[in-house]
Amino acid sequence: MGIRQVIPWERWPSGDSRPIAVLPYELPELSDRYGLEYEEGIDDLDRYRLAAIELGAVGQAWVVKHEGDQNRGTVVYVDAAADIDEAQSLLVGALGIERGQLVWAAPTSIPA
Amino acid sequence: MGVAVRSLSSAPAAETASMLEGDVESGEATRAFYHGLETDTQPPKVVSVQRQSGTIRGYPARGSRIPKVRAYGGRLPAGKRGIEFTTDVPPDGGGAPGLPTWSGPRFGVRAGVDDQGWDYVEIDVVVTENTQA
Repeated sequence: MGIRQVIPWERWPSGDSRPIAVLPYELPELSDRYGLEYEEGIDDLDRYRLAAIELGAVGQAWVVKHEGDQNRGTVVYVDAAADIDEAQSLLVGALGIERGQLVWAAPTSIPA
Repeated sequence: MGVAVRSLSSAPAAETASMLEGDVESGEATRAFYHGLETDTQPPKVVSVQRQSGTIRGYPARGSRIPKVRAYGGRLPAGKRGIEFTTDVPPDGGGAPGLPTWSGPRFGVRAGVDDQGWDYVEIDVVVTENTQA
């Protein structure tokens, strides 16, 4: 499975998103590896850059990096109602990496 | 203002590990610090209001209809313009490391609608550094 960049949804289907992983690459490396191009935006946290990719049954995943985020890697968000384990599997499959390469993976059951 | 600072023991470990500071041996409470940087959407005037009121307000992010307060984890980096704060209210569970959010309504997270009709949430904070004022 390869990467297919898409136009970001106007709204997440469930009304919200959640982070599922932090990729071990920064935005320039993601561009080099997968050809991603980024939209620039600003929210009440900071300026950010974003690329949306198709992720099978999960729909879309958004690759996002805020300008002031000093943490290693790039955060990936999916719809808040998506199955986390399925989304992570689709993500690493699409990127051609192993789950263990992720800097962080969301727990498959979110604490209350 | 006047928010008591105590251990955020209910915060997810992965989110708070890099945000915590305190002298455990002396018994000083361990507390988490967060910061926000000055942007076009957080001008100094807004930060000044936040400092006076002791609250930080958050709106829905792109694509979302759920308002959240969002911040960076840890101390305000040297040389950066922004605010640093601490709060009693633990971040949401399941967040990415170093990018805490607070959504609700839940204990400590108040929901409201501003005078423009936008949904927001806000939390009580103690601003510990402000390099924008």
